[in-house]
Formats: sequence, C-alpha cells, structure tokens
Amino acid sequence: MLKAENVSFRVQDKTLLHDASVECRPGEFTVLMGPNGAGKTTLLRLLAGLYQPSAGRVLYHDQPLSSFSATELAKSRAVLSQEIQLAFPLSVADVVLMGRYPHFQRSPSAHDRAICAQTLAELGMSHFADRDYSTLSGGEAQKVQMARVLAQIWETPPQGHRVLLLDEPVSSLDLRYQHQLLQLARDFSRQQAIVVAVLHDINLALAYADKIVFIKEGQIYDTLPNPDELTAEMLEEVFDLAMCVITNPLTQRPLVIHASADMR
Amino acid sequence: MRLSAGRVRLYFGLLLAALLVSIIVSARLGAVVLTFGEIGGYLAQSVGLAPASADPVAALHEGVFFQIRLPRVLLCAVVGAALAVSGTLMQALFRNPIVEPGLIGTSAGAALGAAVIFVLGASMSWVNATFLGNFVLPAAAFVGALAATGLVYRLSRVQGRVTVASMLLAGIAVNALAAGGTGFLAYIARDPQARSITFWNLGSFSSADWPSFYLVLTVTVLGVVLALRFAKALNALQLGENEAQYLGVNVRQLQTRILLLNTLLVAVATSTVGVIGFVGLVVPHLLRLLRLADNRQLLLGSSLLGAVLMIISDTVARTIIAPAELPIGVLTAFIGAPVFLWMLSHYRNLNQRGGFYA
Repeated sequence: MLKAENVSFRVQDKTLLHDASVECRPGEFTVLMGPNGAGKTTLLRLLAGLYQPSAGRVLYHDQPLSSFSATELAKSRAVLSQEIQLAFPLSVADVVLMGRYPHFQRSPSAHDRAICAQTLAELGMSHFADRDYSTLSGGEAQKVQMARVLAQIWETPPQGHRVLLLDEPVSSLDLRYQHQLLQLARDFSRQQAIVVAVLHDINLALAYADKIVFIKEGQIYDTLPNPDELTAEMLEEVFDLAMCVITNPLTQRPLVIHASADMR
Repeated sequence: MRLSAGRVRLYFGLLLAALLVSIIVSARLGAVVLTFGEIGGYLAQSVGLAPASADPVAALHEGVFFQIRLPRVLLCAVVGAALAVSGTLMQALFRNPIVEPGLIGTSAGAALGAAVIFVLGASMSWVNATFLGNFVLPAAAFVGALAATGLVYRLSRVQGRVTVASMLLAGIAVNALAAGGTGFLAYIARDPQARSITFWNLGSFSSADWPSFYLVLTVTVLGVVLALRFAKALNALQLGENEAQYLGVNVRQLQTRILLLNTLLVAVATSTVGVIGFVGLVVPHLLRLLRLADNRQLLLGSSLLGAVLMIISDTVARTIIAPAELPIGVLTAFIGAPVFLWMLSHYRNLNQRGGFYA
C-alpha cells in the first residue's frame, strides 16, 4: 500500500499541493486527473519520494517513504517521467539496461540483459535495440523509457509490492499505442503491483482506471473509487467545460464528450 | 551504434601503445637528442642488466634523461590524465559536452591560490627550502580551487537545485573575480614573482622533477580509482537528475563528491604545472567521436588519451622554437579553442535539446 496522508507541498511561499490524501492499493490502477498546474505531477513526485512533503507524510507499507534509501526504493519503485532527453548519444539497449542499475554492482548479468530484451519486446521495440536513442521519435522514445521502467521492477521483490508511477505516459503516443501502453500498465497492476498514472484523456482513464482521483488548484477535488459513477457535473466542475456522459457503443462503457465552456 | 567489446579492447590497446610510444619518443627529443640505443641502455642499467658507462658525455646524457627528460615526460602523462579525467567527470555531472574545469572557476581559483603563495611566499623562507614546500603550493591551489568551485556551486543553486545555465553564469563571475585577484597580485609583485605568475598562468612543464611527478601520480591514480566507482551513477545521470534519483542514485551526494574529487585533481595538476586549458574539454569529446559512451570507458580512456595528448603537446612546445620553449597553455589554447568553437556550433544544431537545460 502506498498512501499519502494530508500531504502539502510548498516551494517558498507558493503552495503547489494542499492537504492531499490518497490511497493506492496493490492490484489497483489509480489515475490522477485535473487541469494543467493542478498539482498532479507534484503529487506523483511526492508518492515517488523525490519531494519531501512540507506537511503530512507518505507511507509505503506503513513506513514513512523518507525512511527508505534511494537505493532501496529503486529496487521496487519505478517512475516514468515526461520527455527524457540524453546529453550524449546512447543506444536504446543501453538506455533500457539502466533500468537494471539498482540490481547489479559492476556489470549486468545475463539475467539483467534477458529482462531488458523481454521488456523491449513487450513494447514491440526489439528491433530498435541498437539504434541511437537521440534519433528516435517522441513516441518511440516514450516506449523505450517505458521498457526501461518496466525492466527496473520486472521481478517481484521478496517482500512488499512494486510501485509503478507514470507521468503522462501516453502524451506522445499514437492512438493504438496509447491503448497498448495503458493495457500494459493495467496488466502490470494485476500482478499485485501499485500503479499510478497521470492522464489527460478522460476516456482513456475511464477505460483503464480502477480509481480516478481529481485534483484541482492544488487540492484533491474528489476520489472516484468506481469510475462508472462519474457524472457530467463533476467533470464540468473540475475542467470548466461543457461535458456529457454517454455510452460507448463499442464497449458499452461510459464515454465522455465535451465542448467549450460556452456550451454549458 | 553500439561498440562491440572487441572494438573497445582494440581502442584501449591502441591508446596504451600510443602512450608507451609517446613516452619514449618524447624522452628522446629536446636540446640534447638521445638515441633509442642510449635510452634502452639506461633502462637496462636501471634494472641492473647492463653496467654503468664511464664515458663523461654518456654520464651527462644519462643525467639529462633521468633528471630532466623522464620526470618531465611522466609528469606530462599524469597531468594530462588528471585534467582529462576531470573534464570527463564535469561533462558527465553537468550533462553538457562543453563543460570543462576552466568554465566553473576551478582552474582560476587554483591559479589565485598559487599566486598568493608566489607573492607572499617570499616572506616565508621555509616555503621554497623545505620538503614541505612541495606541498604548500598544491595545498594553496586546492584551497583556492575549492573556494572558487564551492562559490560557483553555491551561487548556482536555485531553490536547492543546480542548473547548468546558472552554474555557467556563476562560473563567469567567479572566474573574473579570481582572475582579478591574480592580476592584482601580479601587479603588486616584484619582478621575478610577477614573471613567475605570468608564466604559470600559461602553464609549463619546465620545472618538472620527481617529487612533483610522484605527487600528481598519487592523486591521479587515487582520483581515477574513485571516479570509476562513480561511473555507473554518472551513467544514470545521463537521463537527468530526477531519473537518476529514481534509479537509486543519491544525486546531491554524488554532486558533492564529484566536485570535491574534481577540485583535487585540477588543483594538484594546476599547482604543479600552471594553468593548462582545453585538455579536459577536448579529450572526452575525442573519445565520444570513437563512440565510447559508458563512463567507465570514458574515464579510463580519457586518462590514457589525456596523457598521450599532453606528452605530444609538451614535446611540440619545447621543440618547435628550440632552444626557447613555447608555454604549453598557449599551445593547448591554439588547438583547443577552435575545437571548442566547432563543438559549440555543432551542438547548437544537434543537441541543443539536452544541452543547456539539464
């Protein structure tokens, strides 16, 4: 279990997040949604242990996240950030292999390399292994980074649950790969892993999330344990747009359509 | 894209061979040109395979070889290695291919620290006389380098994070301050001291002797061994500071350690031979042209290539206008500055994305 209890995060006198509480359970895919600048990435970084909360605390297996060392955390918690660029040229295989850094001392074992090959295959990127990372398109780079992140926590640790945190993982992917990647993330959560993603597309969230947390202006606006209960009013409040929830004829699941705020 | 292990071994074999050849050839050349036969003879003597020669000319040549040539060539090698490794560390730490120790105040701070000893040391008679004197200059250079680097590091810390852009700006300011201090000391100094500051700012290996070689050797070997322990963390840093942290690297601690290590390397090298720029910039870049990317390989490779290039540069510097000597810093600037400019235009086209906003 990964839990934020009344966390706030301030930078100088600006409050980026105020009194936020979320619970992310193993086996569950939690999605964070909200307008730009609402504090989604801040919350994700607090859950990752990158930021220390100004108030409140983040608990991982009932212990404060700050009591774990960076090395310890790296063995069971992986984070996919947005748009990662390298300062120097490096092959795709080398980038993915970085995911195994927390698991070996000097040189990677054959096992480490096998895991990397497997995660690259999982994302359909095997034939890119020898390419220079800097020559990849945004979407290809995103998939390579996802392979790296999966390689980092590919194996279940002896104790506890793995944590996968994704910051706008589908932003540069085409429609097909958006679905593929989120499917992968959800399948991953089904292996008793804790998965949290920041998403912008409400329909993708509805299709894959087990729980949606809405954040607005630095506060948790609402937590929906069952996304099917989503209402248009709730969305209109969060995003300040005209919204309508209908049924997706393909999946018979809720589908959100929207228009500019003038249409409300 | 990827280098095979065999290719990497080949590169290292070639670098090692180049180092040995450059040491021998460089030890041969100078005001007195020694033959390979003579050098072979000395080496055989020193390991007890051949008897010492009684001929006075041969004895003179032997003195030239052991007291002047060999320590100088070997000092070139370790200084070149120290500066090149330092450049590799800096570029990896700041994720920027155009960073070198000179840009963030390290060299200028070391120069100021040494200038203080040059000018004020005259009133401390024990400084030049005693064995301790060998260490006062490096110590002062280290203090100066550490103060300058620490100041740049502190000034460039914005909201607890160091950004490359602010670090380069702070580096310009601290460089100017240190250069002003050195200039002021040169101005108030009496003539021989002022001359030594000037010469020292241009770098020279002419005062090379065995103690300075042993000092730089010890620090460089220690530095390379420590640097190799940070290589994996520096690789992870390629992805960015946050990503490295997610991969289990304590980034703050790594930054502090690398800066300290770098300061030590540059301060000791600079206090011994003066300011020599661009080696730290050019060497890692040349290795990257060979498509070496892993920091372990880059660190080891730059220690070898740095040594080779420094030996060649010094050989050129002391033979090109013989019997006079060109200051080595002038030579490396003539070669390094155009390379720097070329890289600047090259990376603007190619790698601006990851370059400055690390």
